[in-house]
Amino acid sequence: MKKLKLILFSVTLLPVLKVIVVPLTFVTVGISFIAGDCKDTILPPPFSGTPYEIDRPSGKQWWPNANIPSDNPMTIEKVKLGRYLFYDGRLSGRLGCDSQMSCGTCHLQKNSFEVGLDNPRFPGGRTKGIPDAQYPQGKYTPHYMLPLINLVFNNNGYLWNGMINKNNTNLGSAAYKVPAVEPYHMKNIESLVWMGIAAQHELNTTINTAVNMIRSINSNPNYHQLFKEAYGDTAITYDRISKAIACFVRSLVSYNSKYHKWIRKEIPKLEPDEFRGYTIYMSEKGDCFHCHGDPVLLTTNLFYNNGLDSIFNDTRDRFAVTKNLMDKGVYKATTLINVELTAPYMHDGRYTTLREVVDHYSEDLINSNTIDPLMKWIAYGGVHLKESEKDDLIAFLKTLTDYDFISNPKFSKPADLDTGCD
Amino acid sequence: MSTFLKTIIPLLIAVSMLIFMGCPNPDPPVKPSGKISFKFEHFVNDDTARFDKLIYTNDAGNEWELSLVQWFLSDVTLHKKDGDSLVLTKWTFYHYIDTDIPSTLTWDVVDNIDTGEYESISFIFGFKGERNKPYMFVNPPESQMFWPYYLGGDSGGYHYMKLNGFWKNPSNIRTGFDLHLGVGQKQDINGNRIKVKIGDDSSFVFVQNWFRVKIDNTNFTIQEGKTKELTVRMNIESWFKTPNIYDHNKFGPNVMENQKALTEIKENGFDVFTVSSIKDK
Repeated sequence: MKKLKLILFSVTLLPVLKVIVVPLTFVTVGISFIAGDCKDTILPPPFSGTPYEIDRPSGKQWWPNANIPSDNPMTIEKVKLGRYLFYDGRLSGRLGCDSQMSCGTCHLQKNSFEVGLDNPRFPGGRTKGIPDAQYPQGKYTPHYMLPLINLVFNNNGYLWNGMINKNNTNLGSAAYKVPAVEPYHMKNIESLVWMGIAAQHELNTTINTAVNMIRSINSNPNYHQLFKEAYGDTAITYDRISKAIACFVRSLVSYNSKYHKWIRKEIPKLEPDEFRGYTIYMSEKGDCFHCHGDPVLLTTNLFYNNGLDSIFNDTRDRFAVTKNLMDKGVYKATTLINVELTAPYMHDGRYTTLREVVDHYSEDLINSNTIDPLMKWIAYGGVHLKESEKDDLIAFLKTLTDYDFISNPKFSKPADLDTGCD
Repeated sequence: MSTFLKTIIPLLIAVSMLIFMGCPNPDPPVKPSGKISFKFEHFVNDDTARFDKLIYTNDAGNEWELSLVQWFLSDVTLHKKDGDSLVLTKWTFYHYIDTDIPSTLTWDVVDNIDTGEYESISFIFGFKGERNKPYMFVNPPESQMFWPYYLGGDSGGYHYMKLNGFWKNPSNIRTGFDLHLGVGQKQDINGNRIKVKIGDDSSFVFVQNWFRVKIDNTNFTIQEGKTKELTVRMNIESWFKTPNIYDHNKFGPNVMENQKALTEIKENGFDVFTVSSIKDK
């Protein structure tokens, strides 16, 4: 009887055992096999750092996908390292206080990371590179700069002509003295870093000089320690430098202007002149929105001929990238966030006040074969606003200033960064 | 009850439950289905549209050229011969078409399409108001079609269409036009926007200008496991005629705040589309 009970019991349990025991056996055997063969070569997990969460307003999703390359995920440690490198004038490979130049020399936080008219190194806003034998006063940058703001949300290409974009398969750039070899791609913000370091009209140094300089710095900050925190070891390379700075630049996000707070309904209203200006901007009266559109980014990040000229001699316009004749004289429509701080305006810096810019679109448009059809009143020179309407439009444009962004200490020069000239 | 039975019966019940639970109910019978794919093409005067060349003349006598066309269709519906219809909304309820982005000129619909005979298709040009929510698109290119909130309100988030180009104005100057269709604003006879009082507040009154396009005599058969490809053609010259002869000199270069112009364009839109090709993919 006992035997019969045992048999029945086992038979009853059999289906259950089949479900549990058989697979478990296979797994156990498998693990033993693998462990037995690989016990000497099991690798530690790759270093990853602490993920960095891009600042955005809470609640409703307002923002486009972030343009973050898969080989450079953002981490808190890389952003921190990048912030030091961004402001460190020794990245130019020089120690002399007159010759040091960092990204932050030109890209001033108080001007939305643009040069500004009152830049102490470049009064009037015309930037130039560190002097050399060929250019004893420094070589002028071919274009006036664009602000470093919300670049992480730009999926349409960087620079005035969009040359740096995901579809660019070129390596390096002769004009910027960047070698035409891996990893010097021309696809994303990392490319802007090595272009900025190597270009004669910017930091004007060699790759090796910049790297060796950073390797030599052990205090204020201790770069070896910062690189270890960011990458898991102390190796300092050009690739790692560019990735860290790119991470910091991607962290520069602005969304707290008075206008943004109003559309999020965090403040009840705009002032009467500001609201009148808003209606001019967001209607076909001023028609700013078609190019500087997107109610959140205040740019489409696309490219237009906005009636500046009829003869086009610039070798770095949009035509230089697309080779489409209709792109002669075409440039990016930049963001208007913080626009009251980012003079001079246009790719050639021809305008120094917002009033001049508004006058351009009101009466001074110049026709050409490649004029954008959005410049609809080209036959009349522009949209012809009254003087009071221009005042209102400018009042609205000033609501786009994000005072939190331009004073945020996490974007500022680190207090403990000492280049010997601070 | 013997100890044996007290042991075995619960165990048998438990095992039976396991077996029972492990055997899911059989699936309902699957309807035979195929797939549908759309291609989009843009024609002017029965020929493939040519861009950036001042070569066209509309029925109003305007010499004009085409720069780009960007538009949405939504709630595409396939109408069966037996009266049934199928709205294609399983993955997305809309598709965006852009003559500057070749990948948008093809739409491989995810929905499974019941096999059978179909006789026509229809779609909403643009979006119905309840679907046209501001900020629903955050990524380009769709996000760049936003229609300002000031002009469209809560049910007017996006352009239905941007048809941009140039025409020669009465002074013979090549001038840009933007035939942009979307939500309009109710206006009085003087062209001033009308407001209505809502409690202590007031709001502009908006006009929905979307419309349903029906393309009849589009006979096709969906076969099991096969994909049917339909080519939808926008005959661009039709935006300027039938029933209204649209004159750029009458309305000028921008129309987003001109409900009379938007109405004429909308009325002309009903016969802009044809299906130029139906074939197995």
